[in-house]
Amino acid sequence: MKFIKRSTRQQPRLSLILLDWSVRESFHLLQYLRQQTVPRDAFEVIIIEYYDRESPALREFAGDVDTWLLLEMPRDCLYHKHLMYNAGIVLARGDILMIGDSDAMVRPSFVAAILDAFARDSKQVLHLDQFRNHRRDLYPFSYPSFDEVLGEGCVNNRGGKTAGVLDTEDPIHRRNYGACMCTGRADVIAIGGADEHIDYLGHICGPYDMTFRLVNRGYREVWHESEFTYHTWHPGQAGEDNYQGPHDGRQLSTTALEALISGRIVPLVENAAIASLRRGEAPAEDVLLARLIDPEAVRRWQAAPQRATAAETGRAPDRLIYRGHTLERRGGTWTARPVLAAPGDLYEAAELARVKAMIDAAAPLWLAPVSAAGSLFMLADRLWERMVVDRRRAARAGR
Amino acid sequence: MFSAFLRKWRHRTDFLARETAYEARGLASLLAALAFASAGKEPILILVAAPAQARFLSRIAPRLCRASCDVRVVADLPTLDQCLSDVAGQPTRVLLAGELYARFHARLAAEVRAGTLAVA
Repeated sequence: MKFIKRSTRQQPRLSLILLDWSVRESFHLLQYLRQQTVPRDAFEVIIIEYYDRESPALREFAGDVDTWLLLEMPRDCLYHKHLMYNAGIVLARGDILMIGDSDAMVRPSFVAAILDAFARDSKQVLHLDQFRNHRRDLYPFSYPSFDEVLGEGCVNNRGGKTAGVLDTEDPIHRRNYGACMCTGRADVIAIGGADEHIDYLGHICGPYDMTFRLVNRGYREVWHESEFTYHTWHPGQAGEDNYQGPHDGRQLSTTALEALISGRIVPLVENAAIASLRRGEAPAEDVLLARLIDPEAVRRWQAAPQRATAAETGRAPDRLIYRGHTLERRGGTWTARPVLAAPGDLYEAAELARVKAMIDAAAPLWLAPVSAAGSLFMLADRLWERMVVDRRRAARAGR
Repeated sequence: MFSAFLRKWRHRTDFLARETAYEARGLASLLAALAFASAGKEPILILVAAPAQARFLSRIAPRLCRASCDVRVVADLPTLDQCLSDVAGQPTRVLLAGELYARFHARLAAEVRAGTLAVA
């Protein structure tokens, strides 16, 4: 672990935690932070680099960075953003934290909007959604105007608001939870910080893990209706070719969803430094930092192969759903319970494959053909919708 | 121009395949949960599904459910609200595919607390 810079800012109200794992080509958020309407002392900028790279892209903004920490994790260890969040939480001096994209554009009112929102209600998790423009000619980033980003190529601009903020059907998938999340530092410490479970290794992760657990604790999840961030296309966005832990098919962690479903507040794996803060031990910052990285966890993360999904590796989480059963590992035993079952309907075995085989053997004969028929129905339904219903709708609208 | 046309159609078919696979997986989970449902549990079962899943399930689910119960299939929040108020006070079980939980979680929080929500 190595500090390139350490904050000397006395009492910032907001700490912006920005991450890199030797991949960022641009930190242009920092350019926009120069133009904020609030005094510069109102916020601090913390950069956490997972490996040991002193990003050349960050050099031009070095004067705008307050704390710049290289975690110096081994190069063969996959990135775990939640460890970086926890490092930021430990180092932050502001009462309010912001975790978000470092390659986004923000308007001059960005910091003021966050501070105003927390002045009105401190017990909230505030999210700002993101406009996304997929035009390739805006790469490499060349400081387009906000109007340009909102114009041609913008995939989610609905009259000056994001489609996600306006969406009431499926907000969890349509809003960008990772774009910008803000909450109180003390509150996030109280729930044990970001969860360092191995399921969050690689691309499937995000501050929504903390959002969901804060909501379970009684905090309001609020989406700002007038302040947004703005993102332009770059190669490798959306975690292309990255390792992915368990997710629901739409890149949302099923482990985080499980927390939401079960009402869980505490993380599955708590960082030792955050635990010290939560217990009110208040050791010196260097002592906390010494506790930040668990060598045993690093070995586990190193063992996860590069560029593969959790399913491909055969590694299973401790809890999963399989053919209408909830499978749980407790101690050395896997237990399977039908989700619509009377107590006592259980399968048990030491190995996951064995439990799955028991379920397969007990499945009624009609299940496989009916599921296959269902898949065909889904495909036919989608094609009908696309080729007939949508065209009729368009024709009616044109009339 | 031809490559742009191909790219556009590739994008469309990719999207179609991904979305179909996603919904088909959810449907298979719901069918499996129904296949293993125990008899003698709550007499009313509300299935929360995506619209296309609901169109399939409403035809077939009542016949497949091993537990003899009144199966109702809903695909949107207003219908779910109506259904929950219709059965208020009666022992009810709500089942939904895991990926739909995100969409309905705010409405179903009470069912989670009451322990009547099952996620397939």
